[in-house]
Amino acid sequence: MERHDLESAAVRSTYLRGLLAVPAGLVFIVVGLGNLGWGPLSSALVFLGCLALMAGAWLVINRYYAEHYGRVRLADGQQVRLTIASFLCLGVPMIGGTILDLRLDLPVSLFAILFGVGMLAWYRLCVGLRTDHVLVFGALIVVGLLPLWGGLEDRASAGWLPIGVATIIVGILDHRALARAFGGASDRVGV
Amino acid sequence: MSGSEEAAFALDRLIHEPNRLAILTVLASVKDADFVFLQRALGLTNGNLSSHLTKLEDAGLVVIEKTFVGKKPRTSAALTSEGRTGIAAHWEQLERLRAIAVQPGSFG
Repeated sequence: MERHDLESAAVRSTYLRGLLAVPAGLVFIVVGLGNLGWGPLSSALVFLGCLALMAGAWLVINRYYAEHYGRVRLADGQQVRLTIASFLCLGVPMIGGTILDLRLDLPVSLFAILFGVGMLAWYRLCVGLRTDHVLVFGALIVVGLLPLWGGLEDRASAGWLPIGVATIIVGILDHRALARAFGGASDRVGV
Repeated sequence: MSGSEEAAFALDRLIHEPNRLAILTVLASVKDADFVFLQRALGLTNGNLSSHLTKLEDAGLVVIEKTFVGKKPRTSAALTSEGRTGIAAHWEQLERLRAIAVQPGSFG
């Protein structure tokens, strides 16, 4: 194995634990539908129950990864760099996109577009950009660019829906990449 | 080759063994990592990884901590400051040797 592969193993193992993104993506969808007042999710109790369910699922998946792929704590400097990159690539576009959507009132979803661009930048900087990332987040950007968002009353909430779907798809693809790089969960190691 | 030249090109055999070099390189990029992660990252068997970690611990390059998470035992490893210096110096030495090797006419 090359030196770079060995040095990046911890970051890749940590951030390719993609099944954790499935409950996160479902939360995005639940938040979007809840804000839009869709069906049972318009009830605060059902909404909170869904969020609790997703939090529970996240904990179970996190435990599954710890048992099968181990635990690793990144070095402080690396952790700081990743936190800053995450804030710049994800936090800023999400907050900025929401504000710009409200202020500019364009027929596109800047929230979805900036999230897609931010995720591409994040993967490029932190884990390594793959073709499937470009395809999924590229599709999200295209959806955001479609001129059909102008008529929506709550554009930001609607924007959560494609973002949630993209997050879930990329999470599943990341998990497959993790299994390719570090072996499947049921594989015996070193045999 | 003179004695001083030999010393300049010398590599620490304990570190240079491929599996131990891989273990130290992975650990150099983290605060600590558990046994399962190291096995996954390096594709080593239980026995092989244990044996290399013991040798590295005996040499003072790695510190091993055994704890319990619930009822399950957990072994984690981290580099000591000596281990961190050792692996950095070793890679520097390898880079230096590689640079010499790729120089035109370096092997007569």
